[in-house]
Amino acid sequence: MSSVREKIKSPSGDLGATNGDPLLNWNRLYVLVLLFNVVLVVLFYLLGHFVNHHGA
Amino acid sequence: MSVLDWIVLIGSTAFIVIFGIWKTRKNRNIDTFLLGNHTTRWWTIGLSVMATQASAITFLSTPGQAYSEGMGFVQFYFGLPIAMVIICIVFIPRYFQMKVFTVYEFLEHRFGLPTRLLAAFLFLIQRGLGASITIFAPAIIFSAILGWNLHLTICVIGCVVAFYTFIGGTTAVSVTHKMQMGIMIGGIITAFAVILSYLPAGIGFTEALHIAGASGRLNTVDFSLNMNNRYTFWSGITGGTFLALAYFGTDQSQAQRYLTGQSIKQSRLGLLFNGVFKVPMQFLILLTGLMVYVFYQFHAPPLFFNTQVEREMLASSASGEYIQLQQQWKTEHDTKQILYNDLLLKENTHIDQTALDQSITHQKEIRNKTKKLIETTLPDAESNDRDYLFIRFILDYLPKGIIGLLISMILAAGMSSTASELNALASTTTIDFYKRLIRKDASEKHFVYASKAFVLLWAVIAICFAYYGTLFENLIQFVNIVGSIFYGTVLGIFLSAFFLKYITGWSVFIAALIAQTIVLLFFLKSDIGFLWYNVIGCSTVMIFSLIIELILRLIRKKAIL
Repeated sequence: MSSVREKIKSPSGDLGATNGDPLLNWNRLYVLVLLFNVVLVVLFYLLGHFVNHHGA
Repeated sequence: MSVLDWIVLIGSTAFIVIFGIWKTRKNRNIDTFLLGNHTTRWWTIGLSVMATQASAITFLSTPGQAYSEGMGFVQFYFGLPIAMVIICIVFIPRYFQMKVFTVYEFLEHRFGLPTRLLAAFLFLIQRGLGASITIFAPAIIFSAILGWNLHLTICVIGCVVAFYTFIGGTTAVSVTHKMQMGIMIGGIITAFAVILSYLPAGIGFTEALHIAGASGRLNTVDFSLNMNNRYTFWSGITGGTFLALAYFGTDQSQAQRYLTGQSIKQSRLGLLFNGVFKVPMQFLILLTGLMVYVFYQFHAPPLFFNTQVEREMLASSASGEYIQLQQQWKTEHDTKQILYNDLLLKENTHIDQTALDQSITHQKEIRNKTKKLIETTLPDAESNDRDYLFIRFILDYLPKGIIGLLISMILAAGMSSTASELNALASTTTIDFYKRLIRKDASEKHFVYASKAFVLLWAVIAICFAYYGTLFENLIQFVNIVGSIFYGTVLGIFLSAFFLKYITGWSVFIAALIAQTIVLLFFLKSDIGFLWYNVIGCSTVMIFSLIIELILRLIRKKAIL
């Protein structure tokens, strides 16, 4: 795990700490953004599926 | 267009330009002119990144895409959020740590001057052509549909954008982007709402979705592994991520938007903003196109949406045949109306699917015949009218005032992309070539003047190229091909810089030259789809730089022994 963490760290060895906000958990934010898009994809899929099977 | 439309169009465009210039009139040094003195907040960055990507073609073509092929195009953007996260983690900290003006400066720190100049040069070629197409594309459509003079439209769009970019630099671009995005979002929401209100009584949003679904246009996500399908979930996730990485991570026109950020945090939040709102925005634009499709199920659509071509056909020797096809088209539309009657009268919620499929097939046949007739009669005319669909609908059906707002939306999109491009082209020419090679020790003021001169120079080049754009058979495709030829190599250089730690400058430089040659050979000698050039260019740079580095190390080792 530590090697993966090292890789994603910036060259200065921080994850935005230089200019960042200690209250912001970047990893959590990235996951939230990706999850939001996963939810969108699922909704798009369900929309097509629902209309095709229960609609016209 | 009515007087009210002209007032809305000129008023909104003039307000944006004047406000942008007034807000940024005091730009005195190079840091302020090119990087906005690092004062930009995340929401401005996010809107600016979105405005840069959204060109006039986005608002002209995307609804037409949904009209003719359905919602599947949205899958093309599925990789974008992944790319945003990767850029936030890998690209942004490195750019900020080195305090670069252009992303190509980073390459000099990592690989030396030749690699920096090579990447910057490749960017200038492709983005210079890109700037001309973002001016040319809306101009040709406006000239065909509205009857505006093509050359005058190109000149006005180019000069207005060059003017505020020249005066206010990158801050003016960001300030105007915020308002342009406001117009774009407001415009598309208004269009969506107005189209919904125009649907016949008894057809609400849900019924409209059913009608679109019955025509197979709501199959948004396609999980099939068929490589022949251009837009699938898998191509979106892989190819989309790849393209978005190259575009947002290594293209100065996008990078400059987030390099102006107040801090790493602000830049990252700006890109994540794009990662959250891009897919819904594209979905909304496509959905608007889909509603136009539903609207045209109840109102006879024109046989061909390009008014100019339609006029030329009616004046040509094939006019008799064309009128006959128009009549067939109208009859087929009336047949389809009968199928929707039950739905309108609320007697049945289902449509006779077999009859509908038959009607759709007949309409397709008539359209194909029309296209062939146009190709034979007018060999120079564009037989694809998809880009003209939305603008024709706006002009034919929407009320006064709204027409002005929506044309203003399309112009705002065209201007926002062009402004970013001119700004980035001027930055790269000034920082990577002029300051680095010609005048290293000149004053801040000198470089501001140089940047402004380069904004004008690139604007003139873009306008000239757009001016003579009609000389090329298919300019849009031509520019896309040129872009793809260079994107892969540049992305390969950047990814080697980030992930191949022990690679040195000469290895990657030679590998980039080899990759570029290979891509050019594929372009000249093979029929492979041009999107694959990106993959070939990027992987060739990375693989060859590893091999060359290994060989160089072996040679050095032997020399020492």
